Amino acid sequence: MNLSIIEKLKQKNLKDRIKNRDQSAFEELYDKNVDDIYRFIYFKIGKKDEASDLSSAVFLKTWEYLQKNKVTQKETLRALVYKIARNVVIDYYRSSKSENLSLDDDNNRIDVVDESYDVETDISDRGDVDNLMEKMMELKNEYREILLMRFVNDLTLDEIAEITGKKKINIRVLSHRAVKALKEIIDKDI
Amino acid sequence: MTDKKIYQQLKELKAIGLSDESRKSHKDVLFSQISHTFNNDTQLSKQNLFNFKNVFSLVSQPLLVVAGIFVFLLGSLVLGSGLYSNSKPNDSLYIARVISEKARLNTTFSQSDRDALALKFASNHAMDIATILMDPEFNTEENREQVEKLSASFQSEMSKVKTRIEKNDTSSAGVISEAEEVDGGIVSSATSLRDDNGVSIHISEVDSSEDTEVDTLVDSDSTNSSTDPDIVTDNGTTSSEIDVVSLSEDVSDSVEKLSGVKDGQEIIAEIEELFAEGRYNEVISKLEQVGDIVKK
Repeated sequence: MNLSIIEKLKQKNLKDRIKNRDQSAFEELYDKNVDDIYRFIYFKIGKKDEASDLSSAVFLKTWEYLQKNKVTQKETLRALVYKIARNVVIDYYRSSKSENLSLDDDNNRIDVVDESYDVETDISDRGDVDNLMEKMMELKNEYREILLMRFVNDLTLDEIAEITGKKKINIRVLSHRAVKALKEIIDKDI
Repeated sequence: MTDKKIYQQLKELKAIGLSDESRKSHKDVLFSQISHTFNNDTQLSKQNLFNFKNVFSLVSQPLLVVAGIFVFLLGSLVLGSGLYSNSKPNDSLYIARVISEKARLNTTFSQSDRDALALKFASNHAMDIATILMDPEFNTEENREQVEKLSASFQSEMSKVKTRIEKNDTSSAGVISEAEEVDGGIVSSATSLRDDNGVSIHISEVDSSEDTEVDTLVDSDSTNSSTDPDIVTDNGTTSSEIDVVSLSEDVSDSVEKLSGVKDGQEIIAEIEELFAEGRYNEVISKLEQVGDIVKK
């Protein structure tokens, strides 16, 4: 799955407009990606309020980054936003001194702890979705991240490779393993 | 749980997102933070979407290189043909001419046209070599090595011409056998002679020693079986007579073709002898004859 040339041109155009400090272009970027970025961060830290604050921080940093730096032609705007989101999450863990929840430690699992989360109403509304989300939280961070980017947020293999710094073939293998691991967790409980 | 079900449920996770209220409040805060940096005067138009700079920056480099090579080859074949079409075997551009001819052969899809074209090219090459060797300034002891090379090329081109003529000979074998049969005086049937009214005419015997004459004409159409099989046309000739005349024309064409092929093989043998004797002038005139056969 690759981005079409038209989509790439659109992203390039949007990037150029943002570099040119075009407010409408930045709004377009925000509206298109804020939910995906929020979901991405939420699955990493498991806290809704902090995830929404960090999402705003991601877009602020993206704006600043684009004004100050020259962006490579190959890099898509979406990949850039996700890269910044990853760094924001890392900074978040550093600042909250939660070393035991380091992203680099794949053996640690993140429990969803969200005080504002109304379990009863939400589960009755979504059922399977929340059940799957809980199972995903049991996965190691690397697998959860790949599943979210590839199958939920619909990023292309090129974009995921760009964000994670891995090769496309490795992303494919990781995706396969992640699905398998998730399936094992689900089947174990059944 | 199947993989498909997992993928479906993963898609459903898209439902997780910011609430409208939360999105709006966060957006307001964010935009108020950066509002002083917005540039409202210059708005890059969406019309710039398809400028060349953007397109070239996004297309992968290998693709650009392949496209460049393709354009170069196409351009050199089309635009350069005037330069190298008259090049001789000892010119540096001769290789371009050979490549161009090969490209032309590969883009000719009709087998008969391709054979004819290959025959024409091979005979042209042989003629060019003979023309060069005829030049007394070139054909000297000093250029002995080159002369030998060209002689070898000539032999190779002639063998190509011979092969092509033999190939044509084989392909026209069907026509030839038909021609021979007619020549012998016996044609068992000519089922192709079926007129528009569905009347099939079988010619049982044709005697070549006399004028072409139909001895027996059998009408296979049951509805017309009781009537005379000949269908009389406006000018008084019958359809069977017209068909017989057209068959005779076909036969004479085939015989002509056969004799042409045989002539071609004889001429090739003569050319090889003349070349070995160094009579290049005569070689060229004989090659021109081969060219005429190719045109036929």
